[in-house]
Amino acid sequence: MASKVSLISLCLLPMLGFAQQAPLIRLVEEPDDPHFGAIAIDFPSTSKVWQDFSAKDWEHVLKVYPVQKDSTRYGELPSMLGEVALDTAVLYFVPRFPLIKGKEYLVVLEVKKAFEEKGVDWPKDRQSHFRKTIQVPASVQIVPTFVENVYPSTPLWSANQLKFYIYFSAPMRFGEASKYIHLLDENGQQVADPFLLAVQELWDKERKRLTVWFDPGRIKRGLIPNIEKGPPLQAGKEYQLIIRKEWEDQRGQPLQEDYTKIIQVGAADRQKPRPEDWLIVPPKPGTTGPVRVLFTEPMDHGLLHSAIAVVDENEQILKGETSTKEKEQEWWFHPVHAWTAGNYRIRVSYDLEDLAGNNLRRLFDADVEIGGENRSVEVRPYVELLFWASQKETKK
Amino acid sequence: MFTLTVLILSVCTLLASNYEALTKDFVRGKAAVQSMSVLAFGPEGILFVGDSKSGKIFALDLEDRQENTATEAIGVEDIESKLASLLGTDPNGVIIHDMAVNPISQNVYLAVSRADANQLGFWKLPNDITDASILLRVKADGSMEEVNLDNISHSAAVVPNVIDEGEQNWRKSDLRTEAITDIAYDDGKLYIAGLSNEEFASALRVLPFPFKDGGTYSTIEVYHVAHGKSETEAPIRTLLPYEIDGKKYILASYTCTPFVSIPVESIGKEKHIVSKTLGEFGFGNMPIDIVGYTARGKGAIMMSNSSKALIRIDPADISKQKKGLTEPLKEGQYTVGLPHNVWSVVGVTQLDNLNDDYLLALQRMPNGHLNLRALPTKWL
Repeated sequence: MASKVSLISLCLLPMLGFAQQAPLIRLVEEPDDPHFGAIAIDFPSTSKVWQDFSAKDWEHVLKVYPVQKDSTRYGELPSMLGEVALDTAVLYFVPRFPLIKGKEYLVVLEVKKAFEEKGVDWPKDRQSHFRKTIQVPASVQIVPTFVENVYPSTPLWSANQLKFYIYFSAPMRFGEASKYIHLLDENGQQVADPFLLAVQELWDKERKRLTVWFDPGRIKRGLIPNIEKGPPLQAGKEYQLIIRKEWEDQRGQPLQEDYTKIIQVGAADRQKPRPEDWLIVPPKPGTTGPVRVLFTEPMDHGLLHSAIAVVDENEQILKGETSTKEKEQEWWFHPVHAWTAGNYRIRVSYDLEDLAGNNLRRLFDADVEIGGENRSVEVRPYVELLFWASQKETKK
Repeated sequence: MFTLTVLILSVCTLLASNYEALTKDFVRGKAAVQSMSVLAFGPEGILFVGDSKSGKIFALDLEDRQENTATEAIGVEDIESKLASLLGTDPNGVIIHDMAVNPISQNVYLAVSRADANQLGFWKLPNDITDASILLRVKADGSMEEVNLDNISHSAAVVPNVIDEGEQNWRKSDLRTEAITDIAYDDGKLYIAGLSNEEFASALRVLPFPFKDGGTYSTIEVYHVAHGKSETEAPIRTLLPYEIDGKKYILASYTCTPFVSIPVESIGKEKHIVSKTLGEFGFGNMPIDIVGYTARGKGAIMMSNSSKALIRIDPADISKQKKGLTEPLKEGQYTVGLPHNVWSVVGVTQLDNLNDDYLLALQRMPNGHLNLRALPTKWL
């Protein structure tokens, strides 16, 4: 008897809502919305239909199709892969793959079928489907956040590698990095505590670039963590650096996919970078072509964008764009204004580091100084390399 | 009756124990496949995925072991439109990278990507354009579903010494995309073709399955009749373990289409193997798949191609070919060596065995559609 009463109430309540107005079918376009990129169906406020239906009840009756040229063919085409979620009064279709900007999608809600599957009759005079075509605005880029790059980009890291950079396509959440960045050894086992993440996360202002330091205490020889746990990376071994997709971005969405970088570890680098060994490929006067600096090893990606500048004969620092090439073994500078024939200098800060944190002045892992390096007499904190804007290549 | 029951029971137990032995070391969890470069089925419905990007082979337990002994045709017309609808894009926004049929259930598995198919060309293969990351199951009724790799029983093995990324081949693709170009399972072993870091880059590796230590490899040299020289840089494009006169060989083909044999016993034993060039089937073509099948009670071999119709080979002719080819093509020659027939079936890319009576093909039809289509072996 009780079941009959509930059946009647189930019959009547939803009808009231649907009879008055159709649900609103829309694309969630606001990037801050946790359902960004999903299709939302707002039930009319007068309808209590969502109270009796679970997400599962809607699964087989909410269908989304990319609009095809020949619309007569929908019957024979499968609907898009995705999940149905119910959040209070809103039903969501979360597509398995992001909707494509500028493209049209047909959304079909087979209400009659949903009711019949619940054992409730649907009045003959009412429409059995709600359908709407929505177009993803060309301005809305619905892509989950992903790892754009990890620097150093070379797969060959030295055993005393000091740090690396992770670039994300959109801002990330603060404070959770240690849970989602894993270093696996050749047996697929996690290397225990290789990074300094639990202590401090070093993000840029936009929170799109994370600097990850290996635990320096394990790299510097003779320190207690180095003696007890050994260095995080061992020469001759292969590791996988994995950034897990479960990591959420600023708006609370997981990453698009796991990011994996295979790392082959070579011997420890215990040499200071030597600017005198670098090759400069000068630009041609009258062009805005690049001056190129070719290093003898990859340099720290982050510092390459701040530690090198080009200076003209009047001591003016040139405006232009810097970029790194050849897996950070090259630094390129394109000036805003064309080169004029004459002398220029590449000014390299002593702070520029190689991958093991050795800068131009000292080794990261140097023995305690015995007063050999007379820093006190240092006049300028940089070295300069001369070049001529001309047709010929010059070294140094 | 009793004996029969006992027999059936013991056969069942045998099968079950084989399954358990093969999957004993499998773990349930995320299979971290980075690129589904190639697919091949092993025993017990285990799917092998060759992953060039990570340099690994994944063995996936699809739990798809419901036996289907039907000898019917199956098919899906205009499969690209259907995949597009499923993936939320346009028909030219999907690329099929490889196809494999589960010999137990006859379900079809496709490695797919959502990428710009307009970039494909005679010398631009799916794996040159992008990495496949979607695994789809197509059932006999044409319905399609995604295989979730986030929680699947699997194991994985590192392919020894795969080529590093960073350098390009003549087709302007990273050499790493050819780290694994084809795989095939036979009798407890997985054969893996592709490029290595060795001086002679083309390699053939053997991994025992279930995976354990003891994987070996040899570098492979081919006398390329159309190019008139021996080559060690170009990878095998497709291979088939096949028995000829009681001895197991790897039959394989390369771009511009030399067809070679390599005795299985020498793989891994010899550091460098000079394969036997049985025939030259025509330059300007890339072979895609080789399958062995039975037609009219006799063994036969069929090969699909990028720029040629199906090529049919009679194994008896391989047996007769005692010497390998060592001379370049003469002026005006196109194919030489091993006799073969070019069959009247055009536009077939992917090819696999479906059941006793049919092969299954992905075929570009005259109307431009790509169809999943069963080809009756009685006509092949």
